[in-house]
Amino acid sequence: MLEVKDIDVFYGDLQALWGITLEVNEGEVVSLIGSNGAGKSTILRTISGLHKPSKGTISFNGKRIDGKSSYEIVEQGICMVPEGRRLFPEMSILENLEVGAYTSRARIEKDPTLAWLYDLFPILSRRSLQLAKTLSGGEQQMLAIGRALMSRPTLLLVDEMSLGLSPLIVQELSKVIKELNKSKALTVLLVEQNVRLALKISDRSYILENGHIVDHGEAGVLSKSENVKKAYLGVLPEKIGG
Amino acid sequence: MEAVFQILTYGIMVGSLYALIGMGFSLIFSVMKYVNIAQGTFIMLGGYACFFLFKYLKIDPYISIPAVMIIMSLIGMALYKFLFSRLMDLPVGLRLNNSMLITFGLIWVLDNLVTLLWTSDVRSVTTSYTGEVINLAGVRLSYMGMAGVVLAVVFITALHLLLTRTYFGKAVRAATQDAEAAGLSGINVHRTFLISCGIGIALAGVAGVVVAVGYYISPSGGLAWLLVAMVVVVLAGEQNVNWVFPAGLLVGLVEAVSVFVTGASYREVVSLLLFITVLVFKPEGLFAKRSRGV
Amino acid sequence: MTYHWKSMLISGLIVAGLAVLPIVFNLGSNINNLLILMFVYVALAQSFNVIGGMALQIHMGIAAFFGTSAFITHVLWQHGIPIYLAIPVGTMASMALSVVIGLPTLRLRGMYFAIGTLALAETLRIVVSNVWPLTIYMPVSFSVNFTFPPRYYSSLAVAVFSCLVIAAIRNSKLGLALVSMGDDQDAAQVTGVNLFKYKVTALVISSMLAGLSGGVYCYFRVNINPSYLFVPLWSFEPIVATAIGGMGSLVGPVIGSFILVILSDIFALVLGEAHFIIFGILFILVVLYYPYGLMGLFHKIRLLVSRPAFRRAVAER
Repeated sequence: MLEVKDIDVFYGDLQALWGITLEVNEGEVVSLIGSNGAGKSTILRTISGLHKPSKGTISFNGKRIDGKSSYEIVEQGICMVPEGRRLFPEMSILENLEVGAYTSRARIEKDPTLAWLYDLFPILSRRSLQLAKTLSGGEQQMLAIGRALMSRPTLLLVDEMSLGLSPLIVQELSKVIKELNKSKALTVLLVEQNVRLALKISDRSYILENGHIVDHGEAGVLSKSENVKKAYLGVLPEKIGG
Repeated sequence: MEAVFQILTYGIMVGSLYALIGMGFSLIFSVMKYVNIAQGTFIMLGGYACFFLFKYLKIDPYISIPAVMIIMSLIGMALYKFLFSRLMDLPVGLRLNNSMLITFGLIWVLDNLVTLLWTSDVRSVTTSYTGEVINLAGVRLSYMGMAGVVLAVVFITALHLLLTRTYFGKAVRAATQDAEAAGLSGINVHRTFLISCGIGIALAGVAGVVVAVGYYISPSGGLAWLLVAMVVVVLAGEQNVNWVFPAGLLVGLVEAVSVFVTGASYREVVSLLLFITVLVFKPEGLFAKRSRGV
Repeated sequence: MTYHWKSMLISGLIVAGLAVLPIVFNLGSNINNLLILMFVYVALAQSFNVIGGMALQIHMGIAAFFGTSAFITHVLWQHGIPIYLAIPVGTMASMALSVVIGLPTLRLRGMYFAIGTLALAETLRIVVSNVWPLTIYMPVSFSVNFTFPPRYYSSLAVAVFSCLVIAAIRNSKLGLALVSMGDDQDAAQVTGVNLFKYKVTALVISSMLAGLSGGVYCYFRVNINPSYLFVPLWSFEPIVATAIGGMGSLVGPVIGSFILVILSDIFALVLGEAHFIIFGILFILVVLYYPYGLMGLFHKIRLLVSRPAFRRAVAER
């Protein structure tokens, strides 16, 4: 579904990504893991159109999307839940969601999507007129995910969902994501610092270090690999199961 | 007592014009974070458009408003496309600085271009009803002053409705609060800015019509109006397009009182001093709430 | 910070050349007028350069300092005080003004600083134009005894002095503080740089240079119209000169002033009224595409030229 082939990305004169190649197949949950600053968010941001790769291509369902503007990419069916949520603080929950359905494709189905979303996240329905800046961290993350879902994406990108949230809420949200993947056939590509969480909910995973992909494979296999265990999960020899 | 009413009505009439002027500037500033120092020059251009439509096509200035708005909005969109959009990639601080420099260069170019084309003669539009007033309870209300108030109310309300009730308005507000996130939500941010710039300059055009009828226009007259726009915007607060109308009225009233007390020649000084005082003590504006982003 | 002896030598030669010029050639009034005006502009541009060029705080009210000094100088001169005393006093008046109005404005950032300074300068202009609307003439003897050389040399001295001041600042702690402010004001504040102290110092130095410029201008023009001394033109032209030449650089404002005065005179002959428009467009293009001005372009070209040599040197190792 999504093919990233050998891309380099620069921030000005500084190179952030070297020859990144990855793919996401329809119906999968794929995660990108790695330490801080490894470049995981950069990959998502590039796919979303915020950066242009200096080399290589990105294709979605056979069509090239590298270099396109972010709104064009949303129209194609890819939507990102950005790092730090990036809600519109002075707009209400309802307005944030409505903006999420801005593309013409999504706007036609705005009302049914909204109803479904309120079903999924009842709190948003109860507080729909409250301004986004007054919400708690967990509620904001819910709203951010909801806003992305309003655009009716076929591929959802999630950037560091767990940052700043309590483990309980993170668990809730990851359950929702897994549910959406199974029941609504929503393909997900997520970036996570919480390696345990990432490996738990994804089918496959890529490991990034300093802008390079150093390993990839099925989540179950990776979680048992010695390297991963040592580098990211601490030295305890317990098995990490799904 | 009559004097109080006279001051009040003068203040409201003048204040409405100031609010209209501040509106255009504020839209461009709050949405795109561009400081359009040339806003006063665009007001003059709108006035010239009105003047020539009146002189050569005999179109009544108020009737010419739609035409003036169309012309000015095209100019505004060209302004965005060729100048402002180049600054979009810069971080906000540099964008503010560079937009100031660029629009200030624009003043040079436009003022001199206008002088070249139409000489530095001072002009104004005088219609058959220009001097007419009606007398209401001893207070003299000029037709033009009242028209100015009506125009200000109409356009400010229209803008408010546009921003809150339409989808495009939501896009504008979203892009104002977080342009990158707006793009990620599917909004074509460049096009949104393009249209907003067009609207901002179109509003300058409307203000230009009011100025052409009630005051006068000249190539270098823009700067004085720019300062007015900035006073109003500073009073209203950076993010608050909503508060521009009350801020404009406040400036109008302050000026009305000062004209009454010290006479007309120092009227600009009073508003400038008010401006400086507000800048020093409360730069976020009199009406601003202390809001932080999410 | 290093001193480049080559550039110092070149600048020394240029100044010496300029000093000798009127002795060797009979310049005539046209060229004299142009050169003297250019020297005035250089000092004024450097005055803006201190705050606006280095710290990137765009000051749009330099006219206030220029005008105050020119005006006070003229008043003193008219009352019999010799010009070489009047100018320093006028300059000090400007510096005093900068402290008075500068202190409140220094709390302002970015856009608010720019329009606040503009508002203050405009306020001053309106007041002056109301109180002294008419041109003030010196006694006829001054016009009759007008010669160029004293004006030439005093304005040249002021221009050179202003450049020396900038050079000194660039090599000092003040310069470092100002540049860091221009880069990122919040970061500068957090590192413990006493922003306020440096901003005040920069403002006073700026007003000094603008004051000197105004003083010699008054000497140059002899008869003055007070409100003309405060028009926004005197705030704007230094900005254009510095931006075109290169904000924060030493030579930039000089080049910019040269372009503004000399080239515009040449252009005016050819293009007439349109030359202002050309300059405005040039200015806009420079800000858009060459934010470091002509000096920046010059440095880039030097880098490009030296790169193949550098690569060769590396390859040979």
